Amino acid sequence: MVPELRKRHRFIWQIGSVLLCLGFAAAVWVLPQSVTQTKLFQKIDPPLPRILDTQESEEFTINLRGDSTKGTQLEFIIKKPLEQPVAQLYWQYIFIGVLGSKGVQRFPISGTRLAKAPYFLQIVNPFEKTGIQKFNFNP
Amino acid sequence: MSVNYTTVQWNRQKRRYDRIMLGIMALYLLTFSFLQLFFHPLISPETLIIRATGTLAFIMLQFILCIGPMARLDHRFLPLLYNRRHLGVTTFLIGAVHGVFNIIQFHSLGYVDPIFSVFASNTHYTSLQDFPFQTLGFFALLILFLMAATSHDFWLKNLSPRWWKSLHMLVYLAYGLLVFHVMLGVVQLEQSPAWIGFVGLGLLTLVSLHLMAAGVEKKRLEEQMDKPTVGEGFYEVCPAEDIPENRAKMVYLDGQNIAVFRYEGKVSAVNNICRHQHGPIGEGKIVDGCITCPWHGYQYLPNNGQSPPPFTEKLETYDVKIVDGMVWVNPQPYPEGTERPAAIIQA
Repeated sequence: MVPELRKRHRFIWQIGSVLLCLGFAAAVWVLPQSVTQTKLFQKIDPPLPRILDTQESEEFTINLRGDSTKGTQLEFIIKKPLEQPVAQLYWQYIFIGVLGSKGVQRFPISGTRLAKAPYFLQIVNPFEKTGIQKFNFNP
Repeated sequence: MSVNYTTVQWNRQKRRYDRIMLGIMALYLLTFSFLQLFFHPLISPETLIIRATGTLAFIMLQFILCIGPMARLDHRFLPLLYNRRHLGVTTFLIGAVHGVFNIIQFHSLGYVDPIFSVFASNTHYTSLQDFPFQTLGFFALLILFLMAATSHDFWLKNLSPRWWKSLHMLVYLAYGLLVFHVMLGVVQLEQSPAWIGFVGLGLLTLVSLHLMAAGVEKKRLEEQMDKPTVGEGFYEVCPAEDIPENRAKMVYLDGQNIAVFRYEGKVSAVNNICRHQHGPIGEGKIVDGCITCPWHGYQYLPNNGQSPPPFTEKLETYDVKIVDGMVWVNPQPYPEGTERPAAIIQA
């Protein structure tokens, strides 16, 4: 290599090394700070010991559970997500909660809504205001 | 070297070089694909190709740029230099696969021209964090294309070694663009320490090697600048026994870059600059009686600087003498191809 070319190489790398290192450091400096996400978990009540009644559909197994001291709860075991984006639950025409897409969910049922069987459960699409599924429990 | 232009002047070394290169590339692609499929089983074939070829091209360019200084620091790396052009053209081809798949995947499904989309889909040109990094890759690929397209000796001859070398030194710009292509692209998106380490380590290695080689070279030249003279314009070089058999000592005297070769009990001096690509003749060795340039194997006879017939390349020659075992060289050059008597080493 001719000395002039060597000199050009040396110059390029002396300048280049400074520019590259500065650029590298700047690119690391502007890295977006990673966002710490706290995952939100719905607290699930522990299951009550006795199953009073069970209903099955393609998407769910629904257990009406009870205990003489702790009251009554509705347990949803979701086997397959619904096609609707949101599904609300109405027990005896009273709103008790929103159904998720997977897993197990339990909803407490207050004593005043258990006065007289059979009980009526409706799953509603709130956007279209239509019923998705209906179940009757008769423990 | 050849009297005619041929597409590739294949020989045993080049075939071996290319086989090893292709083998290592295939091994890398297979390993990378396996790991990607293991850690990201839902990865699409297009994304896998983009990632595999992008990383491979970057590693190859990094390696290519390391070869020059490694060979200057340690002559055992010279065989890597011999067929560097094939490595460079292959790097362009791999980079082109990466670029084409990117343009198809991210820019070809809109209403505007895909190339226009590369420049217009993200216009945050004033932001470092959101910079349209794909444009940097585009320009780097363009430089690699120019280099690959002019890599043949036809272009070297017609552009002249000076312009050809200047064009090919744009590879340093291409490397800089690719460093920022990665740092402002995948590193900003994934913020992975592995990516930062991968680029940072490569950058550090490359810069260190180039600066070390430049330092060694500068020191060598400085040492040769203040040689004492003796009558008739001769400069002291070194004891003859310090030059290994069939190898050379390179000196820089009175603006002349000279390679002093020792062979068959004699010493001859020729200009140190190969007529092909301005390679360092003195880093080569004498093979079959001919000085052989380490870069691409161009050959010259040591006593007259002429390439053996039918080749026509010639080097300047210099007068050499040995006094008390010490080699002296007169840096006044003789016209290219002038025969000068070799100095005999007394037993």
